[in-house]
Amino acid sequence: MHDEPNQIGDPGEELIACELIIDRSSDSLPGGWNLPDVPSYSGEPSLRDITTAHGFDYAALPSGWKKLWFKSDLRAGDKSLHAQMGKRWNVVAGSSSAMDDLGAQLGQGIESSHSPSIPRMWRLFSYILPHRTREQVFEPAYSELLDDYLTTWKEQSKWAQRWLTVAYTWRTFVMVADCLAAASRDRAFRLLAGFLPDWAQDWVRRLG
Amino acid sequence: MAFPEATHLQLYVLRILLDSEQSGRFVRERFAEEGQAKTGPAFYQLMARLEESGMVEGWYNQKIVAGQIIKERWYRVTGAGVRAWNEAADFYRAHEAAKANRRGGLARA
Repeated sequence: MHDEPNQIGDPGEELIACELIIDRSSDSLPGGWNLPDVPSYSGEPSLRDITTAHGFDYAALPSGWKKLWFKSDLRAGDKSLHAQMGKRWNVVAGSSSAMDDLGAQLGQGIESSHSPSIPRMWRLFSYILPHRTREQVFEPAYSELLDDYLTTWKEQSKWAQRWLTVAYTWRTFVMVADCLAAASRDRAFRLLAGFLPDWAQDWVRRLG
Repeated sequence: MAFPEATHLQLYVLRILLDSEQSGRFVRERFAEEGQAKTGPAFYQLMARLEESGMVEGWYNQKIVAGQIIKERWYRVTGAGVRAWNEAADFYRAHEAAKANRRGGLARA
């Protein structure tokens, strides 16, 4: 399933989906309470703190159920995301006081994105390429490959997943070789290739 | 009338993008349907050249697949691209018309 992202990040970065209910009617309560600004009973960050720390504009979030994607490594109020959202989940699960009942309207669920960690090596391959080739040729082709990998990876057995990782590592390697062929027509790259030993220059020429 | 500057493959990309902006993957799939399957790097190099010639504008959109960020390249045709498409269309129309005239002339003779 493809979701619309609400986070700017790097390809391959892990995200966590949290389902929240934004209740505008409780934004300003009688007696000066502003619910999104109220920390939970254990001093956890408020909903506004959490969303702001993750780059959302709380005021701009629409009312009702909203699935938001959070970067798993971002912290708010010195708490990891799991701690932040997990505490809220606990508040929901075990609430009894009036304050906690109000809290029940805030955090409704937490769903960790169960996805593979992308082999970092795949991206490292690309740093042999000139910037322009990497940006305009490698990146989009790599993203398609990553999309296929992530889509195929789900619902596979452990061994199948390992095999997929090997297969896609090979495909990335072949793709970088293809990109090198594209780069061999790049003037800056040809200039750099001039410093390579003769055999390597021959190889680069053959690629082009 | 001058020959069109764009190649057939470039014109085919422009034709697809004239309808609406599209992702690189979508355009590449249309290529495959026409029997012009290309590897990712070969295809995106073609697109990079179109961008450099100013006929197409490219940018990245983000989407999330299995909880991971994916950058997807999207393209739209520019004014120069529309002009290039129209010039090529005019060229072939004029060429066809001239050919039809020649055939008509031969038939009358």
